[in-house]
Amino acid sequence: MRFQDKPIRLKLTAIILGTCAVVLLLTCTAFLAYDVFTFRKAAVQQLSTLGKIVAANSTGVLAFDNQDDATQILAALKAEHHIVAACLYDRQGRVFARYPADSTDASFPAPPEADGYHFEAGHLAGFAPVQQVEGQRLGTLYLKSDMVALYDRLRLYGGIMILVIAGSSLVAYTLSRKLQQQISRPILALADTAKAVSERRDYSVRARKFGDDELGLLTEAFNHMLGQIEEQNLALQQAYDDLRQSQLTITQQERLRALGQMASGIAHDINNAISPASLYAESLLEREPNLSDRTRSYLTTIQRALDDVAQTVRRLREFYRKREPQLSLMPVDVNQSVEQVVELTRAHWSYTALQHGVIIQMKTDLAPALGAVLGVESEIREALTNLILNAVDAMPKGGTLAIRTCLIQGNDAVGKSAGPSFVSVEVSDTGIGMDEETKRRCMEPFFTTKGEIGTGLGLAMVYGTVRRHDAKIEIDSTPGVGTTMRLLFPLPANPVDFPVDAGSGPRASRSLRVLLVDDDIVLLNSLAEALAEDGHEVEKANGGQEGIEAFLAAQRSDRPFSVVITDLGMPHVDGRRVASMVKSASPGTPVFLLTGWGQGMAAEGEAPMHVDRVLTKPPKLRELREALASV
Amino acid sequence: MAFLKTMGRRPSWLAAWCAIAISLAMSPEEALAQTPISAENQVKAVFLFNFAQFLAWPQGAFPRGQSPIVIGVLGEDPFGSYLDRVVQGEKIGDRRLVVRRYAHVEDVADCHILFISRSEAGLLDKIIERMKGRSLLTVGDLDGFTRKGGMVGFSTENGKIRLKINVEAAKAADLTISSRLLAHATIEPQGGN
Repeated sequence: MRFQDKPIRLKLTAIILGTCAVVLLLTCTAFLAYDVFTFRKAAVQQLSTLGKIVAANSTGVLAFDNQDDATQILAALKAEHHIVAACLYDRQGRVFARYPADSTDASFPAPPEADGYHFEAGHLAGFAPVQQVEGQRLGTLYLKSDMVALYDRLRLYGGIMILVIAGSSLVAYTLSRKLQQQISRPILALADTAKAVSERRDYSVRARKFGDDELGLLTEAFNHMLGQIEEQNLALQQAYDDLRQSQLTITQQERLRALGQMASGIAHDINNAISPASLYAESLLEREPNLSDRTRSYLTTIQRALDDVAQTVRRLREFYRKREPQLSLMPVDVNQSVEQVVELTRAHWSYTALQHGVIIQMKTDLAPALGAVLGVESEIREALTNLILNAVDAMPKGGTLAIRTCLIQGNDAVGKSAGPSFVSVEVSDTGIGMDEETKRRCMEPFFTTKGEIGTGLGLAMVYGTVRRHDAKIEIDSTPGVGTTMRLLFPLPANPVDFPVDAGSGPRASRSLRVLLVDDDIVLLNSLAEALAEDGHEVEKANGGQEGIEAFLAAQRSDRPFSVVITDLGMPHVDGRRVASMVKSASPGTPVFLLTGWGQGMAAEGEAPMHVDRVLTKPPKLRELREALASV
Repeated sequence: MAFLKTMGRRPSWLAAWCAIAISLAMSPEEALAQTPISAENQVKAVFLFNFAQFLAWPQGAFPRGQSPIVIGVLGEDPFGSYLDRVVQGEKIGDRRLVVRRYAHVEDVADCHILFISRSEAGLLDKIIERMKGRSLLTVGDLDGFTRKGGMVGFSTENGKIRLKINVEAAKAADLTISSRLLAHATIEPQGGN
């Protein structure tokens, strides 16, 4: 294992111990070197002093040739055990006396060398002059000392050094074990935290801070970083959830759009299919005075049934209407709307409920003389329909569905009519009710409590209608008791009158030459007959191409058409092409477009180019007459 | 025992003779040109010079600070020119050394170390008497020299020259003799054996 890979605790201990050991070693070595140096100096000093004493004592023996005494003087060196050899030379440099006494002359340097001491191979040796008076040299003293003391000292010092280093290292180790925690603890805490973060992906953990040093700052920065990561993680999660929700919403919308498109096609076909029936029924009821009561009753029922079909188809279309319609506000009798809706939804609250063995009692309490509110009748009916359907759904075990209308005068209590007055429509049920959460969220699009069968759009549409009419919605609900939804439509400051029912409408004052273009031969025939009965001269064209040819042929003759009524959706050449050809040949000739999509188009202001007017299917005689009257 | 003693002494004998032989060899022209000086007298001449190193004279013994130390020989000179050569060029402190020879005791003046020759044996008492009161070291090799009031006497023992010192006489002459000299001499009290 390399040093870099060792745990930080070991590293710190090793660094501290290593540093201590090296410093101590250097210090001890320095001391030792100094000691050796001083010891040698002291040894020289000592030997030189000894030499001076012995030399001084030796003057007499050399001066007066007393060899025995000389030997005795040297023998006294025995007391100095480090002196291994000594001798006295006489004036001529001959050995005069020696120590130890049994040594030979050969063991001493001859002749004596210069005065002074020097180290040689483990010994300190040197020469000192012997003189009684300055300048009168009587002889020379030679002393040789071993360095055993120095070596002893060195050995002792070495031992002490090892002991000191060992002891210090032990103390340093004990201290470092404790002190290195100052550094290793915060680092280890950081490491543990980092590990916890990476292993558990838990960004809420925080490293413990031990102080305000650099490690403390590091810990702080690390924690701050963790905080940021945590925040960003949360934001990311949030964004992901939002995205997921958006995706769900978009998927749902896409599903609705597809459903809508399908519904649109179905609506078109149904409208086409019921058009002749509706036309004939209306025509018979209007023109045949000799009908028996029974026939008249049947025809009326047929007509209402067809109207219901048309309404149902129209409701279907409301789902996929993408843009908010431009409001053309008309006076609306709310009571009448309620009655119509009750009739229209009868199938649902009565028959369907009965099929499931549930009895729902419908009660209506309509206040008279409410006055007209300004609004779009179809939207108001739609909103009420939704409320009724919801009420039915809220009563899976049956109950009472009550619809009540009343007039609420602004600030009635004070007696002054200061605020606006409202027409109130309440739809109450005795169903399951809503809790607070549901009550709060029930207007949100796609919020539903009905599971798979709910779209979550019903009350959202109601809310949209309410807003467009500057109306209010109030919800009273108690779980287990029931719910009351209340719509408050403001009454206009100046009362308006209901439009007078035009009855069968004005009959065309003059006879027109009409070109009728449709690919549906049944519709074509019924419509042609209805118009012919009104006194118009009708030419039928089965399909767009045929219509264009007929129109151009008539233009070339001296009997051009006064008006062209064309279906919109036709194979190969559709109503738009027909309109465009007609206008290019004769810009003054009006073109009416008859379509199963017509109502939507009219409401959305989508009158195509070259088209003067859009009529809906199933066509109503009244509308046709009104349109033709304007030509 | 006597045999062993004789055997034990032989080396110092040999050494002495060797020393003499070497010293002769070192100065052959001296030996040939002059009357041969016995080794014993040569040693004595060196000793006379050495005494000057172990001796302190009282104030006033020298007329001036740099006056030489005078070694005098009274009577017949046994050293010849050898003594002159020993002291030649030597200095004790600032003082040179000179050798003077005196025929009669009356001639002795301004002297610091006086060797009294054997030739003066009959006049010894008179000479010693006459030198009393002077700061002068009297040296001689006559028998009983120190007993008769002389200060340093040479005697020969087993071929080695021994010193006898009459400390009282030296003290009386106001001379200080170094203990290192006394350590190698036989102290002879006045009127002793």
